[in-house]
Amino acid sequence: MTVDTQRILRSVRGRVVAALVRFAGSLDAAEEAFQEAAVAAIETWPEAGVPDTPAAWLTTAGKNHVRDQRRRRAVAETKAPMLMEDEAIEASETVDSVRDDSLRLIFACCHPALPRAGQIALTLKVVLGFTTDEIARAFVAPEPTIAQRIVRAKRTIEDERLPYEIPARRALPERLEAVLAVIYAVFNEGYASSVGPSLMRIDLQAEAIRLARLLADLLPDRAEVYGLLALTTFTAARAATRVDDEGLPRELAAQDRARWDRGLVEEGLFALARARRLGPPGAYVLQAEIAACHVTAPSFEATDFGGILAAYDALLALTGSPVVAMNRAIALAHVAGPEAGLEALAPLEADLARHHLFYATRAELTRRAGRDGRADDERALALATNDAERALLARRLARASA
Amino acid sequence: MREHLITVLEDEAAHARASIPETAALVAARDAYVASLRASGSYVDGGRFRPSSEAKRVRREAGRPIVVEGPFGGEVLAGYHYVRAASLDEATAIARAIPRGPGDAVEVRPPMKANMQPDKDALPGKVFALAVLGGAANEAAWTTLMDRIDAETKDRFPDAPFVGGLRLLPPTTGRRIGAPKDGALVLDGPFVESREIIGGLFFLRLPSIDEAVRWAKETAFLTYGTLEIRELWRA
Repeated sequence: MTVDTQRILRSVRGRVVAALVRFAGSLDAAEEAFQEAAVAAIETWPEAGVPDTPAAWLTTAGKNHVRDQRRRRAVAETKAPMLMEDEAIEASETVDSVRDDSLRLIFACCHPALPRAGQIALTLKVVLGFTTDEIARAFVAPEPTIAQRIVRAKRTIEDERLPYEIPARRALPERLEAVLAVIYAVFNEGYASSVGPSLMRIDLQAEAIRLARLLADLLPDRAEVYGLLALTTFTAARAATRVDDEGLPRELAAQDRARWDRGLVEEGLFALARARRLGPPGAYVLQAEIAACHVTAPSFEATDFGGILAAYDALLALTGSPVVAMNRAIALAHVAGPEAGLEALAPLEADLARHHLFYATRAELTRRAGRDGRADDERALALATNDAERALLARRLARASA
Repeated sequence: MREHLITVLEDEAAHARASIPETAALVAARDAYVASLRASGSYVDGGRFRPSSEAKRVRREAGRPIVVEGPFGGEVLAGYHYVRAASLDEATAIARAIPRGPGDAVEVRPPMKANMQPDKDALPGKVFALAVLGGAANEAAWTTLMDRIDAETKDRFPDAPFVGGLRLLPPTTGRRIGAPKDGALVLDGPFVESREIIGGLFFLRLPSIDEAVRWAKETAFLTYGTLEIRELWRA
């Protein structure tokens, strides 16, 4: 299969599966139909060329497969569920002026009848086409656990006959938190890919931003939606400079700021300005504030670390997360020096003892304080699992030992 | 007190070359400016448009509607402020204070009639601004053109997606403040000459620009003029 076909299949998957669900009546049937359509695409596109509208092509091929299946098993016809007719769904459109099959399917997957972990796993699997293995890695959970979560979630949807729709406006807020978490998870998987040879998967980043924009249109009064949009655009704006020629992550201080994407930053600034007006900042808005301080600074040295520290203080108060506390300690070190940073790190070791970034951070601050950080570098190297990060740590250790 | 439409006409290419810190400073200055307008009580409505690379213009040639894809070169309609002011002079002073890039011009125009609805960006979905553009050799011809469009389109808005709009008085009643790099000279209208002059602006709430184009193709606006379709940028 050519990379191009693979990329197209991946990017349209959510929309096609969502369209097929309405026709096939169940998630499993829709996924199967998509697989059949994808096989047909792989067989025909290289010779016949990629169709102008790949999503429409795949949807038609998928529907044909569903019809064939029905013909073969006439029983299925009688079972044809309430979701069969597209028109019925269009008529029951509940949310003004926002139509997007992927978003619709995400809201369905984030139904409150499902547990949070099930919502996220199901969305990643069904809408974004992640394998259970990829989801397991992204969430540091055993693969059978993830597989079971997905099966259970699907069963709940089938048993309860939950509709594949964007819910009525008043029902949106109870699903919003999960929908934001899912889009953020997709973006992160694109940003720090847990699988595959490259550090980033730009296709997933782009899909996450597309979904965040749609969500912003759907819920223009929600600060956290705009916080997420700002956070994803600021982060994606720096994508081109995040890795060096060897594919290793490049530290922020060494990135070429002239190559950051001005248009994405501008979009993020607008979204953040709106988020600030809409209400007190939540976790996404605060992270966007931090990202804004970084991305708008003329140089690393000129970064507003005071502003970053203030945002981390608020984020720590909100989440109590040890990882947030660690990042706050880094910001503190920029404001008040490495010793202050090390002091803030000390109480976090128990919680972060298996986290390679904790030791990598402490090694760096120890070095800045003028002492030998190699013991922590070695601990970080022993704990790191991502190849690119291991290579970076090894390089740093070699430099420190030279 | 009467209301005035201030349109911001930007040199998009120059903005695209600006650094990120410059962009951030301008965004912050614009935010502060709108906040001060609101505080002063002169603010009625306002908005910024997404880049013209995402925009489309629809006009009719030999009886058939044609669609021109953005980006549009030269001065690009970037946003508007709809303000209350005691006089054209006061409105000009308000317009002059708009933070802008060195190549950006501003125009101040009083409306002939208006039904502007603030806080459109609080509505779910997308809102598109449709600017009615007309090119004419002179002001009299331009006014005749706009009268014709007005007569053709009277009460033809479908109720559901319409979220406000206005028709402007002829350009002689307005002013233009040139780009700061050229000394920000204030000129009285008309400024018809070669380009198409905005005669009105209205807003529709639609799911996508394709539907806005589909709507535009079938309207009487195209009998004599051009519609420029711009998505309102939530900020």
